[in-house]
Amino acid sequence: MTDVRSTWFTRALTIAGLGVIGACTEAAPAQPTFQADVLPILAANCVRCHAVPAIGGAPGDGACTTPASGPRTCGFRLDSYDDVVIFEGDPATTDDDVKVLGAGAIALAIPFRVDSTTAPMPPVAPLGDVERATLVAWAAGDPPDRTARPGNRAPTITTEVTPGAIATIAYHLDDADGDLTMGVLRAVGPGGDLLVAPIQAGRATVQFAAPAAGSYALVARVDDGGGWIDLPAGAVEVTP
Amino acid sequence: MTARRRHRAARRTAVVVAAAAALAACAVPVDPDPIGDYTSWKRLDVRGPAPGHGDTYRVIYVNPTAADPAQSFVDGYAAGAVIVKEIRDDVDGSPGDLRYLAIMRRLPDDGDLPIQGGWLFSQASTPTADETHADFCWNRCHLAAPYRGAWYDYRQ
Repeated sequence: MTDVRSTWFTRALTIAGLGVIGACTEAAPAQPTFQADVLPILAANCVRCHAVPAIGGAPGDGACTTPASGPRTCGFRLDSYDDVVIFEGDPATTDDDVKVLGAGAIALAIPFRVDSTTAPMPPVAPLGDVERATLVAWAAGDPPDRTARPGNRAPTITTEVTPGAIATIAYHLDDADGDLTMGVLRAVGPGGDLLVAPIQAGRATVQFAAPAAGSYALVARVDDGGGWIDLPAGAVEVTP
Repeated sequence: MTARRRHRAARRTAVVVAAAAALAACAVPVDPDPIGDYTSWKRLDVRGPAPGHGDTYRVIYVNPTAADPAQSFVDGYAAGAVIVKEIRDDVDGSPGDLRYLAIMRRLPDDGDLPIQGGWLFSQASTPTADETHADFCWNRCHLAAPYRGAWYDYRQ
């Protein structure tokens, strides 16, 4: 009789325990959204190598296209949904531009890398089941979702500028929600709408040499996963 | 068939036709050196769904350069490496009818051919048919492949 009671007690405890675990286990969203569900996974597991510049053997400068015309495409980045131009030469043509494909463009390949048995990604610490299922469900979208989180707050940028023939621009790009944020800093002035440098969340200093001297308005074109916005970022004086 | 199913089927057909038209519109004729008889090369069979190839049976042939175990992937596959992928129906785990060929050639980046990551990607309906190039192969899939543009380590 004692044994029977013990068996029933053990079963009840097991069922209750499974119920608790089931209630507490996070489930992958059925329709993952880019900013809220996908970007945090990419930020935590992928972008250390798959960003600009690519490191650790990730496709970068060595993985470029040679089109007959138009920009070259070199590698991909997982901190951006969209393709991003990271180098512009002559403003009159795109033939000397270099762009990097975004996560949306290469989404088809993501499930195959995270599930690969021979060369899985990430290579050292595999994704958990929920993370993996989230990426797979997102990548199956046609196109993959890129919507923003409700109530998403826009990034902000501040700059400190030192004028000169080669001006120096120290910037601080910040996102109140802590979203992974990247983009480009552009200068609009006598020489046209020019790319200054690719930028990422945090503090950094970049230099700017324009083809024509004068005053340039700085604009940060950034995306925190919720879509691209233009942020006024002060002005810079380029001397002859 | 219910109206809803007919609508779904029609929508699916429209999507497939639109995708095929888009791919065809992006295809560019290319004229690289012919691959010749590749069926004596090293062979690897792969099944299951794959980006761009659907749920198919792929018979992959790699030439001796691509299979050379002396290659280092620091620089990627050696120039002259050729990979021919026969995309076939999967008939209960066996290769069925040929749908098309997908061909990768590792070429120097000094000619008129559209090279992507060191590779020329082309497709042909049969082994002797004209070849076309499409950006889709690289941009949507092989760019993320683990072995410098290839999905398998053919040295092994």
